[in-house]
Amino acid sequence: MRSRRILLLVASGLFLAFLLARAGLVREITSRVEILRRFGGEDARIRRMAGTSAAYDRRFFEFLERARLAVPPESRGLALYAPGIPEWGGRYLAIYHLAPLPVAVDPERVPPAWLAVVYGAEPPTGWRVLRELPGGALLTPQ
Amino acid sequence: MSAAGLALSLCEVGAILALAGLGGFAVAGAFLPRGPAYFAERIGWGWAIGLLLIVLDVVICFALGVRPGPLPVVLFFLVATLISRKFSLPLLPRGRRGVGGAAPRLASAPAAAEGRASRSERPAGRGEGEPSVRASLVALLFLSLALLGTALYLLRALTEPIWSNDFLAIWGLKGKTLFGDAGIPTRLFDSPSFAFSHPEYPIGLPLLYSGVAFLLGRWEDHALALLFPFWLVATLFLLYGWLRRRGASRLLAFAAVALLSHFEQLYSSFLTGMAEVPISFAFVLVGTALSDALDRTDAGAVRRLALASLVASGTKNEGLFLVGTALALLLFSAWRRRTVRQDAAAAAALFGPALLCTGLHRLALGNHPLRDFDFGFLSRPGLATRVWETIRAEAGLFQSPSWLVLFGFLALLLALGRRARHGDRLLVLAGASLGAYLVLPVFCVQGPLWFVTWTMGRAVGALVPLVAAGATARLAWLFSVDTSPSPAAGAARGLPSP
Repeated sequence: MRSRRILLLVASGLFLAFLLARAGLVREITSRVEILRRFGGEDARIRRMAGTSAAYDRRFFEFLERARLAVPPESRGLALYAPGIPEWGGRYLAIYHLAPLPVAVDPERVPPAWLAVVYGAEPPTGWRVLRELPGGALLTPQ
Repeated sequence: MSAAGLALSLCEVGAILALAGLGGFAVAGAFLPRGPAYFAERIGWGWAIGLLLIVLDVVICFALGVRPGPLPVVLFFLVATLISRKFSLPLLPRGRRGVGGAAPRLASAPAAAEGRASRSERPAGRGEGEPSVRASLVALLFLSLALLGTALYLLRALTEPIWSNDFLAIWGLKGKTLFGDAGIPTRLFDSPSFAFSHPEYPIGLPLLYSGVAFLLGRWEDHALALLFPFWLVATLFLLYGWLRRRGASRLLAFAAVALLSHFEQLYSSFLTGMAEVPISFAFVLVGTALSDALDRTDAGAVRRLALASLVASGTKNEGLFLVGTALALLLFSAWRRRTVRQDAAAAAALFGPALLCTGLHRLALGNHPLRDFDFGFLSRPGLATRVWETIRAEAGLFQSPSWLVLFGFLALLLALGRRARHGDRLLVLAGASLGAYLVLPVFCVQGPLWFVTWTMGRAVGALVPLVAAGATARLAWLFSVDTSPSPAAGAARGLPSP
């Protein structure tokens, strides 16, 4: 009985030590506190841009934010053309960031009253530039 | 938003969540007997109820065409509290553990024996009665470790705005859209553009996220992460309270809580915003309520089972599966014990809310097939290749040191433990889910490797709190002075009769 208790205690201690060591505790705490110290005082959009979700291409997030501000309120949705941006790492972030405005990625047909944004590519045919944005443009049907 | 803005948002969200927990705690009187034996668990259940009331408030406001906000939710909490008072359970006298004692009419003979054994034996257990200085110090150490684990998760969750891909693509996107549209737009569920966001998933979490945003008055996806450490704390309270009530010593329960709080594979920055942490909490709700209902511990057990079924079914499909497994286990147990009639209410409590949840989803939002799986692979050529790919991928995943150490530790716990029905049931539930997860990659549309790489680890990790409860319950005997329990004492711990 006693030996089993001791075995359990030792195993639990080792398991806890493994959990803590695996997390690289001190380094992790230091790094996270430093991130909070540097960006905690910033605007929510800056914190988002500095964070992991925008890490794939931080300019793309800046483009999205400018696009969000430039879209007229009467717009019903946005078509997004960003061929260099993967789904995981950018497109889902774009759809999320622009919500609740509906966003369709590379749609074959764009619904009426929708605008489009293009990033890292030439505007598709049939569209004209409404506003230049960093790395792309906000487009309206010709 | 300035630095003060972030701090203010955290305070505001923290206050909303704390008030929801308090409101839920008041309503929880209809689900658990009052008294010290149930106090810690009541905090956990109160948290679940508080969040559920926020979700129900959003649903009702949407249905009535009213914008959810502080006033409707306060009214809703008041009404829920008043209703719950009509159905509140009696106060449990100090010293009673609620095993057979709270509801004499419901208590079966073994459960009553368990209650007697609990009362007569518990003071003799290690760490009980008048705790020694050493036991108090060890308890303090475990408590400090649990606080450290919680603080670490708080730091991980709040370092930056919620960033995980599934939050952006599924849970957060839906929540933000519900908040922005002040309703449930059909495009989220019938437009091919949003097919990636899994229209077939339950929308409990998006409704909750939008509900918090309505209360806050804005969408705040950094402070929203505060929900997740709250879920951890609620899970720890639930685990501690249930283990204590079901015979574990204080030190053992504290040790389980301390270890679980440091399980970073679940309580991680990456999984913050996703469904794994809330569903792991729901798993513990279902498991403990099922075990209590089968043992007829108190008059609230069946009510808790219904509540747990609703929470689990509304959170994620894995929750629905666990509810189905729990129902199968309940029916099997009832058939073996010939208590089908007595267990009918518990079966209805499991089945009804799950049916309501999935039925409402299908009626309101449409019938969507599981997007990631195709069971037609069973009848197509190449099934054997898929099975082999699954085995190879799973072997690759689970041979990493973190999983090997976890499984090794778990194996040791199971070896040191003894049969305890109330804990074994939780392990059966977790085992059934694990079995299903191991088979599912075979049917994954994007291939077994994709499923194992991106989903398997977190799905299995979400079972760990349930396993922790079950495995710890089996260890209770180790911390009792009486090493040769009487049949009644054996029944108390769920041991087979000699």
